[in-house]
Amino acid sequence: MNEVSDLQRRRAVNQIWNAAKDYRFSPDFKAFDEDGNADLYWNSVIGAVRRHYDYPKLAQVLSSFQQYEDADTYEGLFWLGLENAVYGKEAAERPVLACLRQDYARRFVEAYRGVPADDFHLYDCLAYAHYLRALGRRPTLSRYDLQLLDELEFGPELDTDAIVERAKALFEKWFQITAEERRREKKPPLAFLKGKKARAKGRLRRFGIGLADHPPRIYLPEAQQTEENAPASKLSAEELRQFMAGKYGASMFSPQQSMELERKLCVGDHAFCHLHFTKGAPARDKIRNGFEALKKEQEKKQIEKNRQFYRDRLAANRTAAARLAARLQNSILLYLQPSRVRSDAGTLDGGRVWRSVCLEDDKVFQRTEQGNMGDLSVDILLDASTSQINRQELVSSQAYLIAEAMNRCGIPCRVMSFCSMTGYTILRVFRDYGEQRANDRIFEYVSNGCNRDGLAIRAARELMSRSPYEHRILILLSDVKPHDAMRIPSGEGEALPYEKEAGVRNTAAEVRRARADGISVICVFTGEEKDLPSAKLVYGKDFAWIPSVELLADAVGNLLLQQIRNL
Amino acid sequence: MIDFLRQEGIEEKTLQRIQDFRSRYPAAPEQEHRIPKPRFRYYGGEIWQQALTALLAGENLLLVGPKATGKNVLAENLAAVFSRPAWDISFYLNTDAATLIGTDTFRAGEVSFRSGPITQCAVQGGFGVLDEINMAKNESLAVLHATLDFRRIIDVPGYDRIILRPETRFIATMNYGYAGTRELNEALASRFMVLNMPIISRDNLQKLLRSQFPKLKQEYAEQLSDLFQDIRKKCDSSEISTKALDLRGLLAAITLVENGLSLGDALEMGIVNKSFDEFERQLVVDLISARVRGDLTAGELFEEK
Repeated sequence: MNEVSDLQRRRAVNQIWNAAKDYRFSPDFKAFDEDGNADLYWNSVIGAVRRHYDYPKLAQVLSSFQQYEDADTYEGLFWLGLENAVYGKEAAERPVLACLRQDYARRFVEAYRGVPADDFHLYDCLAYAHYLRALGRRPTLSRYDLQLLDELEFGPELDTDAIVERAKALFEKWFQITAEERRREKKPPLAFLKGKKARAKGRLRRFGIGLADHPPRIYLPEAQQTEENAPASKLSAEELRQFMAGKYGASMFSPQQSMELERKLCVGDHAFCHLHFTKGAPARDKIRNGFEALKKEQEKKQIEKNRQFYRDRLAANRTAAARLAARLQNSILLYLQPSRVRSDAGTLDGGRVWRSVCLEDDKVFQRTEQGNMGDLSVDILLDASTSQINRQELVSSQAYLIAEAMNRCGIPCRVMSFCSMTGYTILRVFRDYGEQRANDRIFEYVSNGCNRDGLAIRAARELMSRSPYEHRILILLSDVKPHDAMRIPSGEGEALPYEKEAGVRNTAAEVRRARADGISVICVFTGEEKDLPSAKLVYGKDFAWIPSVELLADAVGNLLLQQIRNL
Repeated sequence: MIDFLRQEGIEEKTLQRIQDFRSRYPAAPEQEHRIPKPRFRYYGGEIWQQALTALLAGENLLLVGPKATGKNVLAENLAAVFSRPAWDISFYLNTDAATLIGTDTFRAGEVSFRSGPITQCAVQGGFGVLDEINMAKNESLAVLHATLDFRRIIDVPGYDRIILRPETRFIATMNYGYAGTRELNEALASRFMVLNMPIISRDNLQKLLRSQFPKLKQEYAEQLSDLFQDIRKKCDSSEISTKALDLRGLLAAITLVENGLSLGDALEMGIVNKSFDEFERQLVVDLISARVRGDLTAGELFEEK
């Protein structure tokens, strides 16, 4: 069976939303053509059904079919009837639907041409006849089948209740099934489905001439789609994403934007990796199990410890912040010296008037060009991998101190941390450029997982490329020991593990790329002496080695001064 | 123009006062070329009424609204209704006092004042359209404070104090949330009456299409304006960026169909290609396919008359 890409799924959802004129639900049923592309006609129909009818009532009928062996057939037939009904309603508002329907009918009839009638299942038979009718041709059917088809093609005049009524009567009469949901207490609603392996596993199945995307928990109101139904062991891509959102906070971007970012950034050495940008906003999803809850509890304690640590040394920290701010301010003032330029309009420069008379040089005026403070922004990227576990309080309080100093000088500053787990690199944004009052969130710095420095720098670079500032400085706190479980894919031979030399090489390449984009990348190196060569390789001259994190603010101050002088 | 306003449901009293304004301040012949002759008309009676009343009362206007709400169309229309010469002043990051008011320059062997657009507008009693006012830095706009409030003056150091002519008005526009825009500070905002520009309604868009293209069949005017609403809906739910939400592009596309292109090709140039992301374009194409047939040509789209 063909595969359907995430993008096509997203596209199908968009087609459905558009027809439904409502973007607030997530469709349970999507249609694709034989090549796995979103099918515009059927998705428009699905959306229109949502718009014109009370969908939950119809969904009840659909979900009641699931208890029977021939569920697919019943479901297909019911949709055929709905298509007939909704087409009559929608075509008046959307004349182009007539063309889309003809196109689809033609494709359907074409696909079935030449297939011996004996191979036809009941659904194929009726659908074939239905689409022939749509094309204005007369199908050849037995009298019984014809009668069934007539009854199935619901008219546009019926409302939801009438359709449900008709459907129940029809399925009872022709198939001897009751389209009623069985009462089930306590048990998860679709427990019986788990027995049907094919159904629970295969999300894609044949539908019409194409495919239908079919989550196992289809047609249930959202409230009933509980976590219990999710497979516990291996998480699907979507579930993993939800897990990340639950653990680290909801994504800063819409699903589509995230997908686009991954498409753009998770390539080359980072192929198959994922990115999660978050500001730590609570996600809707609940904690999955007790272990995660315990972790969350530990994190909370750590956050409290971070805050307490800063508070205990409040006076010293405040002086340090003030000192750093004063130093920065001084050098910024120097850098901001207004410059005067010659021009043909402005303040007259008496000493140059002769040039106009003798040389016809009209540039005898002066204009003041103000240096602009708004030009400079600083991004701080903290390593939040397990290697920092013993100094979380120190790192967070130093980062807080730097952010405070930036506030005082009016330099826009963003503080982020990064870590990696199960293929995801998580970029947590504590405070953004404009958020002067959000410094307190820096104390939410908690370390765990690996560190894929290269991808984190790449992600930070992407965020910074959207910054409106001209001079952008990225400061990393790192021990220059990249390490991640996801390997670096290579064309031939075995994939390289992301660590040691290969990891350092990749990180160095990313730093070079960021610099090529005009970002000044500097590093505060917290590692051991033996890793100094790696730091030199990655950052060149632009790093400072601090034997203890307590000196972080000072080091950052020095590096920044250097950078400002170079501007 | 007055007849058009009557159709839009403007009160007779207001129309009478516009006539009075025009006869009290007739445009000089040398200003004629500056009076706009709008190609598009702004549809929306309520906004018209508010804008006209404010201007008649001597207030300045600030039009705020997202993309494709007709801010500049309304500004141009207003100057035309009052039959006053207009100055279009686009604001950008480095707009400063000199570019607005004027600077010293050297002319015929002596230093003289070269007046900027604001000064010219004030002296000639024109309508100044301050386009994208929030692109400029607030500090550099401080020079306009005295011009825009009750003082109605421009005081140029070293030169005379210029008093605004009584018929001078300023209409500023701004789009909130465009890249590069900034917050307008209170001091400046308080010198304007602020009109929040509504999104063009389905009916008004149909009116616009029909007035631009009188031969466009009613059913296609409906479908095309519905298409525009579909695109807006998708933007609002941030599935796509606002690049494809391009009213100018839609109008231009219909013109291309008039000139022989098929509707699909024309919409591709006018709307789809405004976005450079492959997936986003796909979504926009889907929107269009779910509304109109791509192979429609002028013969089907327009009535023959």
